[in-house]
Amino acid sequence: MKSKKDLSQHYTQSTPNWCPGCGNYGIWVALKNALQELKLPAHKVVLVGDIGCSGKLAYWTDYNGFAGLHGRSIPIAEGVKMANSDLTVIVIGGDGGLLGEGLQHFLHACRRNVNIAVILHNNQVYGLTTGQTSPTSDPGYQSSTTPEGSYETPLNPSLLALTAQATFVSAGFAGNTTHLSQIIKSAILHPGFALVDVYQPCVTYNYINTYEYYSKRVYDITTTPYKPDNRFRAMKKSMEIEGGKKFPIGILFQDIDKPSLQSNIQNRSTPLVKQSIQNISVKSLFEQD
Amino acid sequence: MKLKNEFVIAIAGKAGQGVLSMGDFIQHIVQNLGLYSFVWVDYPSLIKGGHNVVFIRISDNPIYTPVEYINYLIALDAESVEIHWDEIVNQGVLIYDSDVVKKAISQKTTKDQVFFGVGVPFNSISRAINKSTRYANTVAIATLHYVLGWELGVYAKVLDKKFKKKSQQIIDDNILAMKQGYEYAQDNYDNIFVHRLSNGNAKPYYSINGSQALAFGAIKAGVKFTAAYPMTPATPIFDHLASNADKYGIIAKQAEDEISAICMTVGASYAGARALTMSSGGGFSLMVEAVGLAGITETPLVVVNAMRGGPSTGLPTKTEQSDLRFVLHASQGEFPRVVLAPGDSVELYQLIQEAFNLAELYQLPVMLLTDKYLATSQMIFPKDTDLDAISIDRGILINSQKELGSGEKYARYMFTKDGVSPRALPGAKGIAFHSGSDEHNEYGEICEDSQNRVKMMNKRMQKEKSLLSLVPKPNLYGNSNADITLISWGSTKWAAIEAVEILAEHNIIANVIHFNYIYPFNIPKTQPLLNKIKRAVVVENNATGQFAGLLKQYFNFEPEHSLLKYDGHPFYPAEIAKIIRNQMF
Repeated sequence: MKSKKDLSQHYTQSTPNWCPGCGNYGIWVALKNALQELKLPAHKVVLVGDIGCSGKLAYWTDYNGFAGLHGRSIPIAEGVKMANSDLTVIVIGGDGGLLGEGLQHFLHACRRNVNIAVILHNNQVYGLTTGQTSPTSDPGYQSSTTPEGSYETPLNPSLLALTAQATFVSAGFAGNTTHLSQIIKSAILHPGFALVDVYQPCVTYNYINTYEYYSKRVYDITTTPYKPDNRFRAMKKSMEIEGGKKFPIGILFQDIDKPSLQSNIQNRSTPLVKQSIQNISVKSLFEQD
Repeated sequence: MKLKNEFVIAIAGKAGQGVLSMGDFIQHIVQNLGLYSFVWVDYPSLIKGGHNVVFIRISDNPIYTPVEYINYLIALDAESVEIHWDEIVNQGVLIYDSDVVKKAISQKTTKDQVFFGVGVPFNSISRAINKSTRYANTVAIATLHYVLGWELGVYAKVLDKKFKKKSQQIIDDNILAMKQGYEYAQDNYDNIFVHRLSNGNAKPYYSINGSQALAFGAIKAGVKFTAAYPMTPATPIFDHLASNADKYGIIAKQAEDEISAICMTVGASYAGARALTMSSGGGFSLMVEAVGLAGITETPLVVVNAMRGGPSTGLPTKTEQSDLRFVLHASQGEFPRVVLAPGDSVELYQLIQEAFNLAELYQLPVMLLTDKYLATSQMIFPKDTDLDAISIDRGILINSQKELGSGEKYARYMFTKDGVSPRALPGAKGIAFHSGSDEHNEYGEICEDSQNRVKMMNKRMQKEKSLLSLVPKPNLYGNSNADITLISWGSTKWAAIEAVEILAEHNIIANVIHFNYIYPFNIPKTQPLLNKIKRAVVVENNATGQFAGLLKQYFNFEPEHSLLKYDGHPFYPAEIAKIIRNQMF
């Protein structure tokens, strides 16, 4: 463990401007703790932010940060990781970016098993654009864009990831940073695509899914006999949230045997950025028929 | 039609009949005979059954462009005869499969034309050898040999080389089909020879298409990562990178869509790999937001847009140059960019390398325009071309905190005179930095301050001015003191140059100014060239004169004529010459 002084350097001079009490603070703390405990040097970590409140986190640590486009943080992160497999690459995004604008990237990254960790700041609302309905908003959620309440059934991120063949699927709660930090650590260490679906209260726009709401409903699955080694059981477990009564947190599923995209690629090449590009000969390409 | 000691062979048939591989065979034979070749294709957007044509233009002079006539047509089906009947010129020969074209065509004479028909039962001869039509195309090529008076020796060697890896039986059957086809034609059509071209003295060349030239150039430039989503006619570039990925340590990733492809490319480039994505206009439409991302994050980015007929799905397998304005303005906001448009195989090979250098030196998006015509045409690439002419320049890279002063915090977007900030890659020891699509300060932190905004905009836009030192003037071909100047850009280069030769036969002195660095223009170097022009014609494959408009905007230059073509086909030299003669004299 590094000293407390060392830890403080990761609280960057550029200060977050989230609302007081925002769930993002809990995720921010949990992520920094996880990185600190893993003793990863700041220059070897890249946080790829989506656009929205959550994605700004990429600017607010002393690790490398790249804030991309709304919905596109996953492919950017995949590109970073494929180019330099020595880097630890973490996606920071919300339910709007990752499940709305960029849902296709989310699903394909799952089946691609690219070795990145995706932290889904799931607050069930579009915060930065002032509270519109999101892909995970509860039915009946009223907002400026759905004044009569949302008619749509919310997406279930963990279930989606499981059906798309993700090899690490987990959930955490922004109000339990100690637990969340451990889950994020496991996600970072997982040799493949890892999802951490974080229940994150939005104190400004979401008056239903509050700290109190989740505190009453989340439970740590390690306190039950559940084992995260079976995809089908994991799907059933992930569906517990659909009644809005129980929210299991912890690792729902993990498969470390399926080769990651990275391991497949590394069978034939060193990290791309470490290869020399000087004096490459292409004559043989011209000569081939 | 005067033949100028050169001719065109066309092979036409249904998709799936092996038209393209026949073209490949004939090209190899032609090259082995010491002749120059230019091969282009015309095909519809479907997999089997549609009409396919491959054209092989042959000459003992270097040729780089298609023409609109056919001397020798090999028709594999009856439809091909009907479609191309009128394109066959005087003294031309139609070689057809008498098994499928039932009505014999021995000779056709019109007022001023005569051409001959040579019917050979391609399928029957093949069936007699192997109970299938597998060797029908060999019979057809053998018939062509008879008609052209070519010896069979070269063809036999090419067959041997092509099928060496398969089996001796296949080679033997092919040789038998070849001999029998030749003999059948000989026995049934004496006195048919109309064109005997002796073996040539072509300087050694590779025959490669534009997609290969781009892929080979990208590999030479050190491309390590490429991602794309399939779209005609850009995909073959990706295919050539993918098939050589193992050998050159490249990751070629087919993405779930073009948005992902370009975002992966931006990510890989940010991480420090030379990275490339490519698509046609439709896919590029999806990519545009990320072009701006590269712009504001100052991430080097190389994108190839292989244009086809638009808008929307448009003409998927036909050519057009209609995305010029689109790539020039793609993405919201203002940021520096470079647009290149190579005109032939050597330019494609070299300019893609320059694209990577410019992208890294100035940390901005570079868009390279090609089109279906260049991407699929097999062009001469002289063997004496210096493959190592372009050296790699990655710009200033900071590799570790040690390279900075002690205690100095790395400023990713440091204000500099030329607008270029020293670049660190994630992973540089002791340096962690921020980049983002939000407007930012020198350290990459979000910053909405007005003064900083103006300074940062000016810094970025300065790069577009700074890079002008590397932008050459356009190339002049022909007499510098011509009466007519054809202005071409990208793929219209050689049609214009050859049109000048035709005009010379009509005592019109013309020249060509060809632009392959499209944007930004090097105005001080270019203006004098434009000032010397007496009468100008802009030649471009679009309906609205997109390049001509740029000349007006940037040079206040107005050509006398805008020669526009948007029927899906490239320009032919003769049609350019004809329009100039008819409309300007």
